[in-house]
Amino acid sequence: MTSASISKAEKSYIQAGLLTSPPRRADGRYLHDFRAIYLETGVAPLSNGSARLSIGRNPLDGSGGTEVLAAVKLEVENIEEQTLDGGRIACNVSCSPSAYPHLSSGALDDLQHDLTTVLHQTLSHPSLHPKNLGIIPRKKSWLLNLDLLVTAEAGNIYDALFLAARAALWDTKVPRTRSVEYKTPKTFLSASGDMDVDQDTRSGFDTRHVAHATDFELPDYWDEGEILEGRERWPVAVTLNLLHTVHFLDATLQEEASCASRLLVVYSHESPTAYTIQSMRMLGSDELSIPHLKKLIKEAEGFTRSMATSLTTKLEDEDFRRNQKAREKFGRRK
Amino acid sequence: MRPPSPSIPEKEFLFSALKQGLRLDGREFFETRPVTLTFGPELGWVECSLGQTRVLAQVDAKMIKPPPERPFEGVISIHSEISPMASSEFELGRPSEEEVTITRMLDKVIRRSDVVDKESLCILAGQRVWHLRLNVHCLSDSGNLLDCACLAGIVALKHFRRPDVEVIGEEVTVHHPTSRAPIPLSLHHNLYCFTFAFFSDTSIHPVLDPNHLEQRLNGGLISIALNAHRELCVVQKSGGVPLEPADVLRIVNVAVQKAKDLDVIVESRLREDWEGRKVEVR
Amino acid sequence: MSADRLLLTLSDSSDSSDGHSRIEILNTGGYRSDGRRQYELRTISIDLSPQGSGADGSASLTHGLTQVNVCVFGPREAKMRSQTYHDRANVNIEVAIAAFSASERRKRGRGDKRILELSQTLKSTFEPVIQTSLYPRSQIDIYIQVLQQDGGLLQACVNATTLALANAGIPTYDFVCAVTGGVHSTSPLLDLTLLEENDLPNVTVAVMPRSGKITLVSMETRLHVDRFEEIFRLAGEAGKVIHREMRKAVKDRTEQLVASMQSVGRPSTGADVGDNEY
Repeated sequence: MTSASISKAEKSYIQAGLLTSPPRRADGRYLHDFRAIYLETGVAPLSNGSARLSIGRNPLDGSGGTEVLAAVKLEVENIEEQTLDGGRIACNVSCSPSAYPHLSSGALDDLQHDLTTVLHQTLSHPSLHPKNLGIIPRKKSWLLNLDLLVTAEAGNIYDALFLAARAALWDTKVPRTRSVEYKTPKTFLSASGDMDVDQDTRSGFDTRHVAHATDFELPDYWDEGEILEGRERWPVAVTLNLLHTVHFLDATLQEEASCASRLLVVYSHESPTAYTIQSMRMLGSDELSIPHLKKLIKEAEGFTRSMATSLTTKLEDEDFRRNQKAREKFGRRK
Repeated sequence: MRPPSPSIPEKEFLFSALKQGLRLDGREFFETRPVTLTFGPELGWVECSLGQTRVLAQVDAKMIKPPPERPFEGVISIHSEISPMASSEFELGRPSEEEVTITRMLDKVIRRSDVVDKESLCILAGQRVWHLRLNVHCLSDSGNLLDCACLAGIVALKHFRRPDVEVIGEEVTVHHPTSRAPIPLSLHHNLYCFTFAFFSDTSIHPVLDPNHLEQRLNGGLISIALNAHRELCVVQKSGGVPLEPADVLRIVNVAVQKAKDLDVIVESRLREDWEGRKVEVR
Repeated sequence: MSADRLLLTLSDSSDSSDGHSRIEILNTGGYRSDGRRQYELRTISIDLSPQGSGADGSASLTHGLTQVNVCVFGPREAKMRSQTYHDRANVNIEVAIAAFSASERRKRGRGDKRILELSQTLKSTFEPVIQTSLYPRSQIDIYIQVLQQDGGLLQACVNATTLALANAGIPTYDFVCAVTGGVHSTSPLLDLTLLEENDLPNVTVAVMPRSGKITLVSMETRLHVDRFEEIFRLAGEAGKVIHREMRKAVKDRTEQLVASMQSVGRPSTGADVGDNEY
C-alpha cells in the first residue's frame, strides 16, 4: 500500500480492467475472489498461541505474497486499579524492513503505529473481552500480549492481520490456575505484619507454578490449558477496495495503488445469526454517499461471514492435526 | 562534521614505519603509553590518561529503596558521556559506533562481570541499599578511548569509599566521614581492558594501545578485559581482518602479562594516594 | 577430541525457566540437559527459499530452537546520499528481535543498545568479507529477523547472514561460520542452549573455513585463560563442521534451481502445496 508506486499508464490499465464487464484482473481473479490463503497454527513454541498466515504466496517456491506471524503471550499482572479486573489485551504490530524494503525507518515506524492502532482498538474492545483472563479477583490477572509481525507484504495487509490475529487467539491456551494455593501466604502476610514478605507472597501465588503442578502428567503444559472464552467472537476484517461504482477484494499492491479509497469493515460473528460491526474505517481520499456506504457495509457482512466460517473450519482442522500429532508423540514416548 | 580521513601520505608513512618495526611515538608494538592517574580531592574522583587520551571518572553513592525483584543487592549505574569536546569525530545526540562500543564495554566490564560485590551494598534488605553512580567523561580522544575509560572506571571504584552506616533494628545511621572512617567498596577483582589494533596488511605486526592515527587506520580491533589472575572477562573481536587462531591466543597471552604489570601500577598509585590522605581525615 | 560428529537430534529444551529443581548441565553419564553429548551440535536446518517482499536473497536458519530469518536486498541504490561511497558498497545491517521470541516477552526497539551492538558486530564482521569494491556507489541491505531464541543468537545471525548473502549471489571471500562454546567446570561444551548459556562462561567464535582464520570472537563472562584456549580451538574446529552443513545447503539449493531451469514449462513438483489450503 505504501511501497508500490506505479505509472499513470499502469494505473489506468488496471482501472480499465476492473471497470470492464466482465471485469478483468491481472491474475485472472473475479472481483470478489481471494488469493490462496495458507495458515498454520502453533508456529512459535514459546508463546501461548500462534499462527502464520500468508495470502497469495507462490505455491511453487513459496515466494511473494503477504505473510504475517501472530503470537500471543500471557503475562501475570498485578491489578492496581479496579478497572483492570479480568485481564487486559494489548496488540502490537511490527513490520519487518524486509517486507517494506523501500521504506525509510521513520516511515516504517509510522506504518507500524497505524496498524497497531487499528488492531488494538478493535481487539481490546470490552465487547470482545474473553471472560477467563482473570486469575484472582482484584489481585492478579493475565495480560494478553498479541504481537503481530509482518514479514512480507503484497497487498491486503489489514485482512491478513485480522485473520492471523484471530487464528492466534483461537489457538491460545490459558494455563489453568487454581487459587486455593493462595491462602497460605495470606495468613503469613498478616502474621508477619509489615515485614518484607513481598518475595514470599509472589512465589506463593505464582500461578504458572500451580498450573504446572496440577497437570504434571502432560508432556508439555503449554499445550494444555483452557481456550479463551468466546473465541468464536474474534472478528474478521474485509477491505473493500472502491473504484467508482465497483468494489473488489484482496487487492494486490498495484491494485491498491490504483484505487483512491478503501473501506475496512470488521465484523464479529458469534453465530450465523448474531453479528456485530466491531470497527470500520475509510482509508483514502474519495467520498462515499451514505446509501452506497450502507450497501457496502451490508455486503461486507456476507464476505466476513464466509471468511469466518472457512477460517473456523480450518482452525478446527489445525486443532485436530496438532492434537493428533501430540497424541502420537505422547504415545510413542510411553 | 566529520574530519577527513587520514591522507594517503599519512597512511603510507604509518604503514611503512610499522613494517620497519617502528611506531610513530617510539613505542614497542606491545607497549602501552604511560598511564597517569590523578586523584581529586574527593574520594572516587579520578582522572586517567594514556598519553594524550584523557578520561575523568567519578563515583558517588546514595541510598535508595531496592527494586522488588532484587531486594538484597545494591544498584550500579554507569553514565558515560562522550561529548564533541573529546574529539570532533563525536556528534551530540546520535551515538556513534565507538560510543556504543564504549558504553557496552563499560557495562560488561563493570556491571556484568561482577566487579563490585552487589550484596555488600545492601544496608537493610528490601528497604535500603546503596546506589552507586559512575560518571565517565571522555575529555580528550587521542586513540584507545575504550581502555582509558575502563581503567578510569575501575580505578574510580577502587578509590571510592562510602560512608559507614550502622543499622539498629530498622534504624539506619549514616556516619559522617569525619566521625568514622569511610569504607572501601568490596571488589571481587580488578579488571583491565586492553585493545590491540591490527591492520589490513597482515604483514604488519598488531599493536597494543593504538594511538589516534593507528586507530583511524586499523583493519580491526580486539579488546580483551581481564584481571591479574589470568581470568578473562571480555574478549571482543567484532569482525575486521581475520586472524590466525594462534595470533589470537598470542595476543591474549600478551594481555595476561600486561594486566599483571598494570595491576602493580594501579595498586601502588592508590596506596600512595591513600597514605597522603590519612593525615587529612584525622 | 574432535567435534566431528554432528548428530541429528531434536533438542526439546522448550521451557527452561521455572519449576523443577536445578537442571544438571552435564550429568555423570556425559549427557547434557537436552540429551546431547559434550561436543554434539544441535540440529541445523536451512531453508533458502525466497522470503520477504522480493528479497534478492534470503535464508531461514535454525540451530535447535533458535530461529533466524535473513533477507538481503541489493546491491541497490543507497537510500541516503551520505551513505554512498565512491569506491565500495555500503553494508547496512538491521536486526529485529520478535517480542515473542523469548520465554519472557520483551519488546526491543531499534535504538536498544544490545541490538545496536549486535548489528554493529555483524556489520564489521561482514564488511571485510563481502567484496564491496565490486559495487561502488551502492548499498547492500541485510535485514535480520530473530523469531526464536534458545541460545546462540550471534552464532545463528552470522551463519544465516552468510547463507543469505550466498543466496543473493553477492560475492564474498569466504563463508563465515560461527559456533558457541562453553565450559562446565572443566569440560567444554559446544553449541549452547539458553539454559547453558545463562549458567556457563561462553565464547562465540566465527571462522572463515577456507583459511582457518578467526574473524569474530565474543566472550562476556569470566573464564580462565587456559580454559579459553581450549574452548577457542574447539569452537574453531566446530565451525568447520557447520561449514559443511552450510555448503551442502547452498549446493542443494543451486542444484534445485538448475533442475527447475532445465524443466522450463513443466510444472515443478516437490513444493508443499495443498494441505494447508482452504
